Amino acid sequence: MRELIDCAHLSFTYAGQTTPTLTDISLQIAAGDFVTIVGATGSGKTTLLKQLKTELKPAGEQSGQVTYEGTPVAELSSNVSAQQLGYVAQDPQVQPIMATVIEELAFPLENLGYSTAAMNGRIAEVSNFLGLNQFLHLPIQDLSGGQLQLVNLASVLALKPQVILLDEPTAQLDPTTAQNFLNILQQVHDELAITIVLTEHRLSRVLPLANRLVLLEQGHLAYDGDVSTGLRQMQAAPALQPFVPPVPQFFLDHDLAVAQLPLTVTAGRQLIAQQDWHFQPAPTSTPQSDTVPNEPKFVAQHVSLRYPTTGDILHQLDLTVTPGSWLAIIGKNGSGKSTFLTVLAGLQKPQHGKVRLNQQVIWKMKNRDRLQQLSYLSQNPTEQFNGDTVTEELTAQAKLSAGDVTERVQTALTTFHLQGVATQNAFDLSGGQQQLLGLALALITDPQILLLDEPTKGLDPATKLMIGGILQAKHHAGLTLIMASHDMDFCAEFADTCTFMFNGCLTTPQSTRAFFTDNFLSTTAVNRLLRQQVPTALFSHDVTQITD
Amino acid sequence: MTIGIFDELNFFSRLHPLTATIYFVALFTLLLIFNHLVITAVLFAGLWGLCGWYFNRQKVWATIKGVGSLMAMIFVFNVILNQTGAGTLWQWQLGSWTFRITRTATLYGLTMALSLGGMILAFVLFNGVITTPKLSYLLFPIVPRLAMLLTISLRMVNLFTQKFRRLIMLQKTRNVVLNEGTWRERLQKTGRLLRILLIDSVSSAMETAVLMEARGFGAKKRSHYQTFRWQLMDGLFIACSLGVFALILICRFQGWGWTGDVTQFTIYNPADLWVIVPTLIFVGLPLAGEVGYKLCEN
Repeated sequence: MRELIDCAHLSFTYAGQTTPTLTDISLQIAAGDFVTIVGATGSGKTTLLKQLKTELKPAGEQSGQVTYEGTPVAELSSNVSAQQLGYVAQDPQVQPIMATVIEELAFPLENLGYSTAAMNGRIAEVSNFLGLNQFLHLPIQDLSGGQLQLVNLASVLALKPQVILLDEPTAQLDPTTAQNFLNILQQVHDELAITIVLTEHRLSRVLPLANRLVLLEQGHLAYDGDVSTGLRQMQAAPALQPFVPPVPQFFLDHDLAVAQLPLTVTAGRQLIAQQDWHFQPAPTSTPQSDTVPNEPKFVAQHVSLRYPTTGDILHQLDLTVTPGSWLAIIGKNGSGKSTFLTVLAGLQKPQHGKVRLNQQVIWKMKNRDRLQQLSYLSQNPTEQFNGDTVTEELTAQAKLSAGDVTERVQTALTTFHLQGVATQNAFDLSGGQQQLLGLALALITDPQILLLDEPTKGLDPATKLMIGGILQAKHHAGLTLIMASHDMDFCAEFADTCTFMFNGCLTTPQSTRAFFTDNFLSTTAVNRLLRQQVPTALFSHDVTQITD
Repeated sequence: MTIGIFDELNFFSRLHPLTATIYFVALFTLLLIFNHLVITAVLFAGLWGLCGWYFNRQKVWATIKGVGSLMAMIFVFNVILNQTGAGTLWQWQLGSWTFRITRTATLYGLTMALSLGGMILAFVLFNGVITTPKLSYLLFPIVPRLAMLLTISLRMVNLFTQKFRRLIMLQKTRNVVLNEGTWRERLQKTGRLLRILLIDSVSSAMETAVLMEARGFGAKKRSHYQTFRWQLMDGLFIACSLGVFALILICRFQGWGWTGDVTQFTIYNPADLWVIVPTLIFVGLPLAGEVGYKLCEN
């Protein structure tokens, strides 16, 4: 295969820092490769990706060299760089610049001076290939996150690039939309022979597409090779273990001898059938008990809400929350989960129905009184920040409830691992740290009820586990949680009751294990893998192998 | 002010942007060159009808209610401040100072209010027809940088508006409630939200700028994607519009529809009828176009 990109002894230190983010990285990417770069938060994945295209390079000191087809990337003209090396960012909202889809697709072509006829041809080709025809004249702001990310990809594809670099492109999308996006990416790779280099946290969907895995650990290249061997190496490193997707992890956990680890449920099932492996429920595995119903105090009755330009987002919705429970509301993007949470939090008033907390209508309560009893964390925590330092943010919030402010701030800094960034501005933190700060702000007033909107969105598996642990401790101490999420594994692991949001209504809440056992599509990968043998298995540790 | 964008399948939105722009230039000119009550009332009513035809009627009514308060204010100010008019309707004496409400001040106030209302409705129509791509298309050959800047600004304004609405809602969780407290406190809270918006927006804008550069922005002289074609209906519409507009201008040069001396204002002037008829035809031209367009359907 023709070599496209060559990183030779690449090191990079951000301006104002002394510790290098990348150290002595040597890596070659051949034409037609599908490379997935994996690593914990702060391992240098995004920094490495940005070194491959000169316009994206952050300010800092670089040593070593990155070349594209033998030419240093820094010496590529803007014209060549734009045409040959495409880039799709993590947040679908930041790339679009034009008003409509067709203009957005034309934007890079206009930049490079293409004629109208040439632009028409390219746009027609790309929009047909990606199925964007019906969206062409839609305003950008009317698109969903998944559609927007597809437009971003199309805008890059219009220039017929050799390589597409993608920085966690599905981090902001729900699982179904993410899968659709990755299917299209696979089509782009397989049918157009475009080289793909992608960083990702959620590996279960990406790895089946990749032919190479690049593993970064604290800025060093820890592994570069085939996916299966890379996963074995990740499983051996405690810090990277949570990153291993559930299906290969199941095989590694149970020491099932396979040459190549299966990456999909189908491949896993075939292997289990071929080898005639049998499993039984683990003796230690006890199903999560149903929460004993108590006197309800947080109740939503006949809630209906519509926006001026939409039909009913919430339709005659009823919910009774049992004190001390952890309810997960599962549903696709746009199903109304977030809207419902803002109504429960008293931030929006629906046209019909009531939400009552201890008999009081939630939006009639004084804001401060409400905050002392109920907290809400948005899926974008920066929208709840004041723009101050971490300590100042926490102090301001702690003052809203009684008790020693300094002591509570110090406890929050310790619990949420924020001591190291206590004096930094909240907007300068990493995504994971911002989520932790958001959670600390929500919990510092010691509320009885916590509402969480997509608490794991965009987080790496290690941070996700840490947040799960913190919430679980609070839950055991009596906190009631209502969480909107499409992260099946997180819901299955931590929530005790689950419900679907669909058609503006909620289905009857069920205990978590019953919910995921009954579900056919919305369940954990391990359940889909083993449901024929152990229908109640949700995780690897729920079963043991039957040995003769 | 925007209350919607036209259905792409109707005649008015299918016109070439230049045709639509010429029509609007003529329309705005008409709103400025007459100061007779009946003519401005006809223009206002005609534009209201046109908005009602093209947009959601509830939204048009909501806009009229919003515009109504502004019109009422213009009327009241004119009536109060215009003390030299003729035909006293009511007067009030306080020492040596006399406050009068006159017939001509009332008529002039009404005319100005209707004129302003008509102007706002014309802008609403303009925004519905001349969308950002059309505006950018018109500006690009003359001032390409301004066209690009305009497109980016409009997108950013849209994002800021959405973001600000979300901030107002979500900052309640930090006890920042805009509709609570004294005016001074409310102003301080608004300032605080704007500061957050600025910090967040600057960070996003930097990333957007990098991504623009990554897609070749600034690499070469930009070309422009042409999406609009001149059609027969553009020629016909322009000819009709300019013909009727010329007729109205001739009337205006005859001195019809305009009174220079405020004290001479009347409710109706016989010559106004000669202006009203072509004015109504001019405002109704898009509707005539819609009918013609419908008749030409297969």
